[in-house]
Amino acid sequence: MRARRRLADVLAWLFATAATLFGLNWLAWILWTTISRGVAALSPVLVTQMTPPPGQSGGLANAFYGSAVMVLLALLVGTPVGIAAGTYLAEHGRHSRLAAVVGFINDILLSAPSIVIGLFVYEIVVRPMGHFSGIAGAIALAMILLPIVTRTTAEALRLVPNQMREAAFALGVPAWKVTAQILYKAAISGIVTGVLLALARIAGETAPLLFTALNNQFWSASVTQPLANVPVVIFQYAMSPYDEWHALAWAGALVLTAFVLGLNLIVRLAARRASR
Amino acid sequence: MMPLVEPLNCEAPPSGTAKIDIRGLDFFYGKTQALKAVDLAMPAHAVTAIIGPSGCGKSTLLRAINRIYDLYPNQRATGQIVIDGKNVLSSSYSLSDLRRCVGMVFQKPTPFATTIRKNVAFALSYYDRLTKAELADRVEDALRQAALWDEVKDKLETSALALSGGQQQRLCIARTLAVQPGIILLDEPTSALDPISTAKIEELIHELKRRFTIVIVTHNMQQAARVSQRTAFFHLGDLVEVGDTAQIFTNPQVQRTQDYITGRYG
Amino acid sequence: MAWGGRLAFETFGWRFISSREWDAVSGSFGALVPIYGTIVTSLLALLIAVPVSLGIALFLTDIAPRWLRGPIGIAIELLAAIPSIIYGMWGLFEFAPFMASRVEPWLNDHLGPLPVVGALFSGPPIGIGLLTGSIVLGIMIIPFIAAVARDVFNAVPPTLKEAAVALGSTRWEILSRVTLPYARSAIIGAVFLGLGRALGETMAVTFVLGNAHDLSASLLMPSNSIAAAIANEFTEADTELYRSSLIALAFILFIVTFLVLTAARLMLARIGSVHGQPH
Repeated sequence: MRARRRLADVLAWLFATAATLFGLNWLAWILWTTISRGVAALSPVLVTQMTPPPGQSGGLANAFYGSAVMVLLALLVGTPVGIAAGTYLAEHGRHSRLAAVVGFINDILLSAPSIVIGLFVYEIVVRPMGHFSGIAGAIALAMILLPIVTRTTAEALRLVPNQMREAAFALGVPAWKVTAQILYKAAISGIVTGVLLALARIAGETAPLLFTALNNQFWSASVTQPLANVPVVIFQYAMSPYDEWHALAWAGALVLTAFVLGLNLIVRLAARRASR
Repeated sequence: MMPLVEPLNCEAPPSGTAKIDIRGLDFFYGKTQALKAVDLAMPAHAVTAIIGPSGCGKSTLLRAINRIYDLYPNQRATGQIVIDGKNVLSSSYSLSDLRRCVGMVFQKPTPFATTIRKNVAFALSYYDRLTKAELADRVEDALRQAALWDEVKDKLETSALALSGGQQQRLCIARTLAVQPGIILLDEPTSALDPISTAKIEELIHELKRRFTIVIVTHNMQQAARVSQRTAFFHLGDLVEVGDTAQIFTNPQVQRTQDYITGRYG
Repeated sequence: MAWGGRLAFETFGWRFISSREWDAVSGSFGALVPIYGTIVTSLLALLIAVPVSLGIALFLTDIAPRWLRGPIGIAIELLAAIPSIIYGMWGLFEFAPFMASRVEPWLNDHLGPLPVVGALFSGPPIGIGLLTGSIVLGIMIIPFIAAVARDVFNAVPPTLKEAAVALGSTRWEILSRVTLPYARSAIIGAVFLGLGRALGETMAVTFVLGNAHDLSASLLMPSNSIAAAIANEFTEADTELYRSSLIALAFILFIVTFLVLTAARLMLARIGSVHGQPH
């Protein structure tokens, strides 16, 4: 009897360890592939030249630029709104009908697959405008960023102990001052973490951009026209039959992955150090 | 300098009359009644201790006085709490006026996540328009009154979170004192502290009562006996007995009080 | 969204869902193949991901020495952070060839001839298809389920576990008899979370599913999923009907995903209220 129990235990131990190794194996394989294939195509040309027509060599300059522009726009629009909404949810969530509605809408946005959001923005922005544009892309990204920031802000604020709120109110100070000066200071690290992680997430999003900003062969600085961006370029080049395009796709993938993973690592390590 | 709002009269009332007069106070958490028809008068420039077993409503009483329960929608109070002749429970009374004159210190030290100086000065800029020098004076004043100045005068710009538990609690007291209230409510202020910090704070209370009116909730009867002049014993939401501290502890009139003090329950 | 898809719904009615045709030229569209593909890949992905995620969660909370927990935890979180398009590219260029050259022939030879099961594994080993797509999808959702499972395992009150240990239980017994029952609804919630993610995943599967509108029993054959179909064909959709059909697909996906994820959130919220006060 005891032997059987011990056997079950050992099997569980083996399985768990195997599962972990299994998971880590994929991580290593994917990273290795990205690095090895991407490195081969890395060169300063990447940032100096634009996306080439098939058969020619080039770089990804316009894609980097376009991605940066759209991500930044989404960040500028989405972050303040998200923090405001998250604050409202955290401070009034329990006893306000409006808060329940806001929370519900936020949940809908949060759970929508990114491709659905892309199509939604297509319907409401691209169609009326008549063509794809960088603005539509930024809007789609903002719609993905917003619920994440709202949720992490609300959670960070909820973590602030109620006693601190009461101590501040007991001093007779109005609510806005309590929130602005006391609560935000206490929750700031959680809020910043949420914003940065959301940033890393939208930097890598492809599907929503397919229907909004699409892509642009050439240098485009205007956000009212289709805007080049890294993920869609990778998509189109990877699905193509041309080797030069494949190489560029891998280079782009490497840069993108390095950026996203780097941001994630920094944020998570900083969070761990802060909580110690 | 002109204060921005008209405060309650924060000075002493004529001698003999109570500073805080609670009349017929009922308190409800949702449907549950936590305080029943409480009548209690607390004198100025003295320490009134509220004692009783856990759940008897002592913290609730405190939170009714400065209406901190207003933050929570399903908590409400009926009756009157008259401070300096005005009923503060009436809806026409301004909350920020009330809280300027009634300060509160909580059980767990709650320093704000900022510097020591900013903690103390936090509420000041809302009430009075002060110059930088005046602000610094008020901060120093408050820290001296809280017996913390000597320990922190060289590190006012450091984080308040780095202080020890006892120092943080004294900081919270300083923060409350800075606003120059007339009444200070203390909700089990030393239950989370070590004996040495506890002794320092009890000494502080002894000093402070000369200038302020103090109400302290404590589950530590020896502490109540040490610091207070009047003691009120609560049980299950009822005010069972109130009187001079010496009398309550040596010669209680009600059996329940006697049982609690001698440790039969609680 | 429903607005955009209404044209397709009007034209085809219920047949939209049940028809398996998808012919851009003749203008008739049926959603059966993408829906089938979405369901199959998501379920298979769950099949792979759930045991692995639970295993990883067990490893992280119980087996690994303390100094190892942080780094491995971060590694798993990195797996979640990798953009899905990278998964797709890796799937197309590395994993699919691997499947085609090593795994699928093996499956073909050994499992193909078997009755019933064999139908699942017959077909040319080109590497692109339902099986590959499911595996890639499964790998993608592992970190999501594992992270929630780990938090849930950690949230089991230590007193419960200590009581079990005091009674002489083995690690496996603690897991199966104390932790899992306690956290049952949360684990199911985590699984639903993974499912919701898998249903909507686009880029990882677009590369490796093959964009074929055939329905076949074999897992080795290329197929399609809702998200992949939309991604692949939207830019070529030239008629109003074509576009509307794709949007109708997206609408279906949106409703299903929303329902699944809401269910997940409800289940996870319940475990939150079981714990009540923060410690």
